[in-house]
Amino acid sequence: MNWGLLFESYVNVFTSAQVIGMTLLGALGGILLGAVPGMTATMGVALLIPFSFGMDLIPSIGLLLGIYCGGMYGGSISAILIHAPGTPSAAATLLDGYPMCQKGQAGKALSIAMFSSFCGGVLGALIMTFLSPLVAQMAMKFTSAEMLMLAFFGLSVIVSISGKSIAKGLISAFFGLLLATVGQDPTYGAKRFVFGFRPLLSGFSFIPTLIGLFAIAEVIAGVERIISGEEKQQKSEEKITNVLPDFKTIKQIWLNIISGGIIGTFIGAIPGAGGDIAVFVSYGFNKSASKHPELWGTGIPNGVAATESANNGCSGGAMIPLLSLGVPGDAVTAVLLGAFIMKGIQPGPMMYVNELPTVYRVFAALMLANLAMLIVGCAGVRFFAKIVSVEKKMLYPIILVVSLLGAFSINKSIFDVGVCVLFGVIGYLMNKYEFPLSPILLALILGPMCEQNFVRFVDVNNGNFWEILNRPIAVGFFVVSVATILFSIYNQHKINRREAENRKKADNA
Amino acid sequence: MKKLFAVVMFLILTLSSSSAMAAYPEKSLTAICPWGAGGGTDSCLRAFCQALEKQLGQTVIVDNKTGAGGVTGHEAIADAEPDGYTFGMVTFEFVTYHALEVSDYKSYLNYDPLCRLNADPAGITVNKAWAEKNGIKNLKDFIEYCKKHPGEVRMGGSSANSVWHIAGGYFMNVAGVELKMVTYPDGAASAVQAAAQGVDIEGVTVSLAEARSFIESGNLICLGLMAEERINNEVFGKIPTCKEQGINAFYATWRGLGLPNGVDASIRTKLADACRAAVKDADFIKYMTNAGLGIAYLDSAEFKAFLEQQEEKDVPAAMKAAGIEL
Amino acid sequence: MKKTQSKAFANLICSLFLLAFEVWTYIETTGFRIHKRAHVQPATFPQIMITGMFIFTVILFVQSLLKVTRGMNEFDPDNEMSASINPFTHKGVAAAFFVIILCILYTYLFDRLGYVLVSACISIIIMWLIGKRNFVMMILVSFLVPLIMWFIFYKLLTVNIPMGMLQPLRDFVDKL
Repeated sequence: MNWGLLFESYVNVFTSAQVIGMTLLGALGGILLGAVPGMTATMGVALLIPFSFGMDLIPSIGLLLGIYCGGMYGGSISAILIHAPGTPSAAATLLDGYPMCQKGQAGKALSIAMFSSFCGGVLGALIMTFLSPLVAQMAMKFTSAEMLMLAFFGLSVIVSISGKSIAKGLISAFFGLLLATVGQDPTYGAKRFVFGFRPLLSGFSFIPTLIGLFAIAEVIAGVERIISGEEKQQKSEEKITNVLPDFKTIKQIWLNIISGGIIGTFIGAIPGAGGDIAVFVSYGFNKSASKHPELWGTGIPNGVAATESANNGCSGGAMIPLLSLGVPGDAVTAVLLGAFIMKGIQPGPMMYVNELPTVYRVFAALMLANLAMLIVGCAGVRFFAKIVSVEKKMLYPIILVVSLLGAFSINKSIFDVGVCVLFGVIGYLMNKYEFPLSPILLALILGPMCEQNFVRFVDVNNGNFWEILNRPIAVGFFVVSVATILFSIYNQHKINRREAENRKKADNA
Repeated sequence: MKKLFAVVMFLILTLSSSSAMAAYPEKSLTAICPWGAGGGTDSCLRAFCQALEKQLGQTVIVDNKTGAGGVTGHEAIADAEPDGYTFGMVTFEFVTYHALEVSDYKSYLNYDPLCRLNADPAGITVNKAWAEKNGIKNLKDFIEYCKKHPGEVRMGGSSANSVWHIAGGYFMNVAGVELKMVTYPDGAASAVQAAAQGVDIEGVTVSLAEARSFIESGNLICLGLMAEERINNEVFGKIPTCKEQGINAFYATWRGLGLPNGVDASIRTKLADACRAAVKDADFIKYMTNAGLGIAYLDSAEFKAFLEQQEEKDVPAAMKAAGIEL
Repeated sequence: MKKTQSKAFANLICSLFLLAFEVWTYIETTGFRIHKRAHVQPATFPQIMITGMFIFTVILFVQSLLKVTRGMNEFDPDNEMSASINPFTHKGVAAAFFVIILCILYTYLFDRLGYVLVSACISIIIMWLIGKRNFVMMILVSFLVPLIMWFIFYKLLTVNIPMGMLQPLRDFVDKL
């Protein structure tokens, strides 16, 4: 570690008006993009690359990182306010964020999300600055066996996000895993469940499915509630005196933030695993470790903090393999890789030898991007919280047309709009009969990862699956996953028992 | 409200139709990209469109129509209005669709090829530690080793039926060896990483640009490039071609532009001329050099002949060798 | 409340539907291509998933069957009134179904009429359905929101969205 150079790089980045301006602009754009379902940070970064062609490297990286970090937080805004995760990484935020909003604490939820995002991001940036070579070595240890078991570990969280009935949660999960196999099989290209319908060749696109299950289903259910007179206009009396959470709340959530940030950074650092997995793992872990697991999912700050710190930690994590191996950790860093190459810099092991000042400046730029996200976010909290007070009769149609456009714009395909509507109906029916939706989502994310690595592992070992016993990391993940499953089942029983007692008490009183 | 709307519409209509007689191009063009925003093909097309805008004096909007492994976008090009305002980028996968029964269109029949822009040769790149352990120093050693251990050497392509997966099959045909091709649906980058780890696979059959970071760091070593000549730059200049080592293997991915059939001849000529000039644009050349992409221009007739040769002869044979069942 | 209105009974019906779905998908998987050189067939993974889903559906089925036949204690959450999807007895459900039909129509008309027009239509219809009667506001919001969205996507993000009859608007914006 060259401290002098590191310090110099920080000073260099934090005193350049151009870099600061670009990063702030990026953060603003990222938050807005992230907040609209269907517009993702990946899209923003990709579209701005030609625009940044004429700029120097560090300002343009600042701009792109600003979008990246802003987008990670922005996704939580719509997850909290309208039950539609703006980006896949915000999918776990709505588990507690939306109930908070329904309780009339939209502003509080937003400020917690922002604060946790910032802390998680800073934690990620710090780990990246000081532990990059170590983490990169770890990432290089992940071959198909380890990836398979990592996916399995991710799936083990399903029990703790299943809600009351574990059987229903697992049915949802397997249904999601089955949905993930629609289309051409990833290894041989064989057609599965295509029924001669060509648009299905690549399966159900993830984002339209996500928007359908959450946003469209919520609009349909909302219309039903209004007509049958159950809908209450949300309280908007909440006074937002402080855009940052108060000391008492921070004391309550700081452990969640730190564990979330660390989980996010490490999962983000593994190429092929990103924020969408990290948030669920962090949520599951923090729920299990909590003294009151029964409160999770009812709208507590801890839930929002655990997920939002994880997805922003991920941005730091994903930068590690990008810079030190030249392997992108997720979709956004894949685009960033293109941006570096375009400037004539090849990320990879040699970058730390030949371009050390650039590497340090990228570290500094990521830190700056997180700061910019906090500043822009602070300014926006009051404004975003107002969305809730828009009359529901106007809000639902608007959510509908904006979400459907988002579904369309991912692939420019009408078929995706249809997929979105289809999953809207499925989500509406599942909600009615209390099948949880989050397991489907997690299964859709992890299903392909699970299958690809399983098939590949068996294939490269000539059909001998038990070769996996020679991989200590994989076996370790497997043991932890089984422990997680057993513990969550125990936990769920405890929760159900406590609830039954509460019902009895309420009845007696 | 309605009246106002009608008046505005009328104004817009007259404004836009009054100039219909003017010379092509009198409005913005659309370039269909069958692959996602931010990927290699998308960036290449965007860089090219910036150069093309200078030639045509109109904006060119890149429209990413993705899905179904590129089929959606490629078909959208063939189905577009043949008014010369919509064209698209076609990539290697294009010549495999008909054989794989995912599209009814054939590359050289249902499209009007405009020009080829770029070609990047595949390379036989293997894990250095593995190569040293088995005494493999050049392509000959590698082929000898493969002949002694048929089907045991595991090579990573990119996703199933993709250009690099087929490249492996092509090499097997030319060199007369048997390799085990492993697919990486996440793309070439994850295959390259796996090769550098050396646990699941021993090597990759991707382009040099994809494998660059690990070649530079010394984890991977490229034994032979499937091109006529060496690449003229400092990083890749040391890498020998297969031809130098007595194996006549020439295989590359390529990107080109295509139009729907039936575009008016004068418009077509204008667009083709603009493309030819845009390829020589300094900014475009600089972009391609930085990105490690080779410019390999072919005009419309040459490109059409090239597509026919690929679709009917070269690619089906290579696909068969790669173990892709048709 | 009748037993057939309880959540337990609803679960029973759900599990029957799911069982039928699982049988159907399993039969589908037997038609997938078999790859000679493969160690794991393309059909294997979906089949494992269907089996997993099947096991838990059977568990749900047995649980709810026991609850329905043996009766439940009054604190059992499954003893509550189940939600309904009968549009003839619940006007809320009828409205939800109407919205679903509108969405399907929307998909069908999306590239025929263009984004802005269909979106404005669906917004106005839904607003009217759920009891908004301020027509000036309705029309204004219904047109402005899709127009602004289109403009942002087209101009700032260069994403081309079908405009149908409003296509000249795009040419107009290009001219500016």
